[in-house]
Amino acid sequence: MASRRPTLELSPAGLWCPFGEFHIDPWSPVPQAIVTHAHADHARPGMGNYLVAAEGEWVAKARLPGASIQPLPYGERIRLGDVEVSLHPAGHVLGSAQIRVEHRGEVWVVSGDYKLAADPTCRAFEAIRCHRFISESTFGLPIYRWPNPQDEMARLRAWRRRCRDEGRFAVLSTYALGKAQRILAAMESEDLPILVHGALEPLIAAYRAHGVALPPTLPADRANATAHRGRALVLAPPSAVGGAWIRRFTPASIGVASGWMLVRGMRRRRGCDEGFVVSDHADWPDLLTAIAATECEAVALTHGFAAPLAAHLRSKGLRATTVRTRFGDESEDHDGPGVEAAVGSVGGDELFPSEGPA
Amino acid sequence: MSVAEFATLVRGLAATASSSQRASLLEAHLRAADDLSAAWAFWFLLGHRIPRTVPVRLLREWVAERAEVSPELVASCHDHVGDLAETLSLLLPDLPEESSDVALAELVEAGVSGLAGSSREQQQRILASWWQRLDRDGAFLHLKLVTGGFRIGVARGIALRSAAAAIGVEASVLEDRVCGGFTPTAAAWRALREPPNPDEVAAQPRPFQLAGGLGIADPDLEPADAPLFGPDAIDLGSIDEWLIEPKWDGVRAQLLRRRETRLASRGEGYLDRSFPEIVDAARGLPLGCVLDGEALLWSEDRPAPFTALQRRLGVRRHQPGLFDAVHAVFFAFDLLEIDGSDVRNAPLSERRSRLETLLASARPDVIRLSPRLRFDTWEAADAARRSARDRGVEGLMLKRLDRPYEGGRGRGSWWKWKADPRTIDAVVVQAQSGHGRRAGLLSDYTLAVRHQGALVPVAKAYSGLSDAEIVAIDRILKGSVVDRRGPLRVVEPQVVLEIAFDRVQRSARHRSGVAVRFPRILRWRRDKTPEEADCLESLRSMLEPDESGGAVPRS
Repeated sequence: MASRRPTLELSPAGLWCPFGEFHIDPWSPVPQAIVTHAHADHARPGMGNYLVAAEGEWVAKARLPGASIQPLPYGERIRLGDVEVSLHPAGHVLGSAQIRVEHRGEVWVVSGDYKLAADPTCRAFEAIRCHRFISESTFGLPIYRWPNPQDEMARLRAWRRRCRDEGRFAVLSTYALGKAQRILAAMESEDLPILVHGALEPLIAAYRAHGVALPPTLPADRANATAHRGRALVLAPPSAVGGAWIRRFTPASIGVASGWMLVRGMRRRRGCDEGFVVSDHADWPDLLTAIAATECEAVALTHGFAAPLAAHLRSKGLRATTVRTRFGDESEDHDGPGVEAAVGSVGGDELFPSEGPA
Repeated sequence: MSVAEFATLVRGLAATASSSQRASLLEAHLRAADDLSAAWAFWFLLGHRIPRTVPVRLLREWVAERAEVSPELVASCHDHVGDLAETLSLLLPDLPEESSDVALAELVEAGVSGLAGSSREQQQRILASWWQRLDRDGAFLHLKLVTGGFRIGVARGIALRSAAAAIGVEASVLEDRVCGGFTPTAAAWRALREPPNPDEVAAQPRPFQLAGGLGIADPDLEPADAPLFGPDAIDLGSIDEWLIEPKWDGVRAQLLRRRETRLASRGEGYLDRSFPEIVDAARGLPLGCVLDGEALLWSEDRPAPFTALQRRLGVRRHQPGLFDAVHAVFFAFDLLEIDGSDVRNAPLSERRSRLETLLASARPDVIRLSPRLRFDTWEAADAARRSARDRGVEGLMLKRLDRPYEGGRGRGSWWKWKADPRTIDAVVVQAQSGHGRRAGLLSDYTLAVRHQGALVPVAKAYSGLSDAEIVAIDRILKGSVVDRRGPLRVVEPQVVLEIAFDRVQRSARHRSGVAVRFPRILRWRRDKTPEEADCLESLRSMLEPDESGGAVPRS
């Protein structure tokens, strides 16, 4: 199979399958997109048609109002041109999918964003055996080893109680899609009342519509701020916590839930009182586990710390390359520090460039 | 005080911005501590560090080995985290959940100082043994100490106040007792409670009074900045209540004429070797006096260029030739002791007149009275400030005549009012990760100006931008890295920053042939492209008059 054209290529619009004539998570408008999940850097507006995991249909509709959205249940195979496509749980957020593309017996998998840790709000990551694996690497450095999520949630709830005892709001900065719902799901009746910023409401509604059990929430408006002064837990996206909106919740302790909170400099920069290490991405050991579980013969890493992870994998004998995509750009889910880009231009490259002579 | 308690203290101090909470936290910990651990904690609080004795390269290797990753990967982690000790502590696998019960003093003496003079193998064994006893916080603290980077971010005033309260003396008394230095031993900690033998402190300066900055746009350097004119102006009252002097660009020092005659610097050192003429001249003063002032070099009728002063400060032993061309002057502006008694509580007006009387008998060409400048209005003083550089001084000093000498304590009775800084627009050509809240962000910038179609570096700067700007610039720079040299990233010239500095001087060490003093960032010029940055010629035009010749870039 040395001489054949690769199943997936990097076109100027994103990952492109020439045999199926579709893009995966494209960053420019194209007729047919398959989308791994509804975060803004993966599900951009303007595509002719979106194929998404059925479990993510509600979330996608909330994020892309009016778009043509085609749901596909996890594991169900469809034929697009010369390839077979199926979607498989990625464990990142509700409806997040890995995309499996099979062409003449060769299997490629695009991971999208994923985590291995348990999350009651979405289906657990499923390892898919493949020849080629295109994996995210947001936290691809060995310093990133997540603490036990239950311990971190317990710490978060203890902070929330401490704030109430001190008569302060507990304002938690959290991504609107995925993280907010995961945190809500970990709250219990004693953690009420919970007020949520308007940006979170349609997504919380989408989770509920899909049947994810979440505790009751109230809009974080002025009336509720007054009614529950000094005793509510408030969930809001980072942009709101940094803005004027937050002033209605005074006095407040500010918490941030993000994998980046593992590093002191990031905590200090966010200006928060408490950082909780809760991430919807795989940490270093889980990246290694997930990549090994695919039994792939080559892996291409994208966004985040692609180069250091690739170097590590190569030192262990795996063929590993880096791909420069636009995932992670200006995204609520990737608000860590800037990461030095992998070498190469965005788009127009082979995913596995050191391929033998054609 | 156990390591865990000390780690809790350090974390607690970082978590609160309130001075009173920090002070009470510190006091409680120092009070409860064993003498030796308290002595070490206090020594660190005063800003001391233990020099690093293990090479960073080896620390990386040893931790890489334990974490089963390559040293290069450890370096990538370090670039991202920004702090080596934190990086290593995050990489160490299998640390215990909780530190075992070890006193701070034991960790410092056995686990840090004990590394000096040990073989590499012994060092690795010592570190490994500590990594079995310390939890992640403890390992972080330990590695901060081992790498020489440990610093407790507490203002000296708060540290002294808390320690004074813990041992039951006045803060001003403690300040006096530690002014010449403090040795971290249990005996020295206990001795702080008792008055010292005067003979033992004959070479000890008094705590220096510091000045706040007026109208300096540099939040990092001068937190007490306040403008004198305009809507946010502070009210200094009538100009008659102030003593106004030139702000000399020399070295602040106290001239001690006691049983010992020394020139003491603001650090814990002496300037006797750099300025032997001043010490010699001081022997002509009556015994039992201490003068506060500024040491500088003089040529004809004005201060010599700062570069001449820098050459003197580098002097380790007497070099006669170096001292002939320009001569040293001590401009005295305050009197702290006379006839063996402490006069710091007298108002400045009284100290000044006694100083004038005293110096009437001194050798006038070496120990001089810093002149008093008289202005009828603040506007007239402002005009003199603006033209200060023409007279070779940095600006004006304003001191309230009715106040005592407030060494080491709050600001408000002394202000420095500098001439407006000079500014240029320069381009970021290299950057590396910063520390603290800038950790992991390319935020230490090397800035260049245009010269003959190329960009020549002229300054390094980091302070002055907002956090949001630093993050935004980090993203731009990381997207445009063209080369890596260790931690340094060479970037495509894109970002233009306006930098302010106090002066430009010739420099043989810089490729541009000039160096700027105290560069700081005023603002990000998003409206400018690198082609619109300043050129080297505009910097050269700012050289001091007697330095403008010969500033040619090295090719």
